[in-house]
Amino acid sequence: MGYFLTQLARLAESTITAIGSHLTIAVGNIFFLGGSTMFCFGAYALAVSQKFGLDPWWAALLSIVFSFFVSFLFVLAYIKLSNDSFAVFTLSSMLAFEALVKSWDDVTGGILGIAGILRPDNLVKLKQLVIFQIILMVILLFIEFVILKTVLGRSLLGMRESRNFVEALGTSTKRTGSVAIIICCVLAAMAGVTGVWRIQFLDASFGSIAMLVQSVTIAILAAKPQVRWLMLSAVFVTFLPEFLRFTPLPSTMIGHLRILIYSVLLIVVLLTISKKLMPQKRFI
Amino acid sequence: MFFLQILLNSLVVGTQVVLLAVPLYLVYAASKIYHLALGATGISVAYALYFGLTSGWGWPITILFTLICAIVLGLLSFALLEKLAKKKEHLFGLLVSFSLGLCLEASMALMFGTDGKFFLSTPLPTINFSELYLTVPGAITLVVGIVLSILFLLLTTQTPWGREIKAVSENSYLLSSLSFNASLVRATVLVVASVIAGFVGIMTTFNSTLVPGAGFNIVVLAFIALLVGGVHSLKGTIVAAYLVVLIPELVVGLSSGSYSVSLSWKMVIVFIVAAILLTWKPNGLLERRERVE
Repeated sequence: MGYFLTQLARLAESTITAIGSHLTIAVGNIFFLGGSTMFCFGAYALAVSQKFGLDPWWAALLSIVFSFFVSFLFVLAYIKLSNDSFAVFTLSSMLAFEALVKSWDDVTGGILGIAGILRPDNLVKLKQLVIFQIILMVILLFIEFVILKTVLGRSLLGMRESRNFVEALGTSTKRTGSVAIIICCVLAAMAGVTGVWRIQFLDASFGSIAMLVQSVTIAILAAKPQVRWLMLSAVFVTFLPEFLRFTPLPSTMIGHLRILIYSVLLIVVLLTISKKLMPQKRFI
Repeated sequence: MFFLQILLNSLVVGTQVVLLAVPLYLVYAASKIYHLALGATGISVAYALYFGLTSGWGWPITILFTLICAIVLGLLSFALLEKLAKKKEHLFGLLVSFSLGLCLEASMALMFGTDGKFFLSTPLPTINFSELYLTVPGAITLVVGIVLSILFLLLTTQTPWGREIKAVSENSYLLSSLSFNASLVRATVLVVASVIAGFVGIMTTFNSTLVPGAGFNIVVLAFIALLVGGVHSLKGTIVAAYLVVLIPELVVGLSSGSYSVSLSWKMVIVFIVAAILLTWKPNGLLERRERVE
């Protein structure tokens, strides 16, 4: 039972993170790769707040507020840098945050991490937490569904087709992209908060590259700007490497094999269905 | 003397970054793709050397095997990135390159394990200049790095090959109509980049330990150098590579007393320096403003 609950929790966490990646990468064609950094940031903001004696719910709220403000750093980079430079800059933010977490050991516990992170009183059991995560995931999927129907969603879709066209219609692409980035950051932080409540331990390896590759693969595999595709993609990608658990491989190898599977899958997906994500070329 | 030793060590690390930033620049110039897999490529080549040496093949066969591995990895990169470079889908190229890097890293971890490997069981040989010292791999890196930097600066700015690379990224169809083989130019660049990355991988791990994830840190530093120096300026990239290494080393090395900064903050300082330089000059240190008529 514990195994299935854990898998459901992982599904919820990766889906919540992937909603942001879906909005930015698949819908808006903004290659924001800082989701994993914000996942980790959200978790650390929660853990540090709890360490200073804050109630878990207040700590979660504070973590989300902090993540909102930190997301403006990415917005600044989005406005200042070119698309590809922005992509790699957000990717390397993961390394910067990891270095910061490892160095600032007075607050973050350094390489030893922070242990004994408390769950809220009403989510003490894993089953209660998983139900909360699933409800949160459904609500956020519904919010994405609504966003896709609003001006913001249509502008993001328009940006994928032609930024100049969207600008010509009087919508600021920078503002639209910035909003998508902020949403992505806040959602990733939310996933981080629920993730750390599940594990109850936090160190610099939390989230990391595996989470980034997983969320980007889910977003790109979903391809279409539709919530049901995102959900299907999340289920497929999250449960795909699970067959490894039933093989007689040592546990040290499973982590690397999982990354290998995700990265091969991402390459295959990018080389085969990438054209669905690109603006349609019309020949007259 | 202490200051000079810091300067010398920073020069070696800076040259390692330059040596990876140069192929990163070349691939970007030829295909407009940030080839992030170069770090993992370099480390994979270093593992090939380690495999040859521990299998008792002897230096000539091991070096040949290592070179073949570097060329094969270059061709593999070409096979994966060519379609995307042709279609000008640069951001997907970046993601494919990143995933290829992860694949290589995970494969190395599965084959050789994640524990650190050493090429030599004895202490590294050093060269002493009065009270200053430099390891032999450090000295080789310094010399080769300076020679290659000057060589590629001349190649990209003064020779037809450099002009071809720029032309390929601008309009490969137009270049093909002039009977140039754009794919061949990109393949050559990727193979040369892999060989240089392999050299950097070997020299870096000779100086420290060989672990599968070592490539990612150095490729991020090289990328920061490329970004800070300006993606269209090799000269700027070289200057920036030394700056992003030297400033944190000096801050850490010269800080003292209650204001001392520990070594673990180095990477954080690199990002702060990069952020300041990018805010000050977003198009690169040596990038000139162009008037568009």
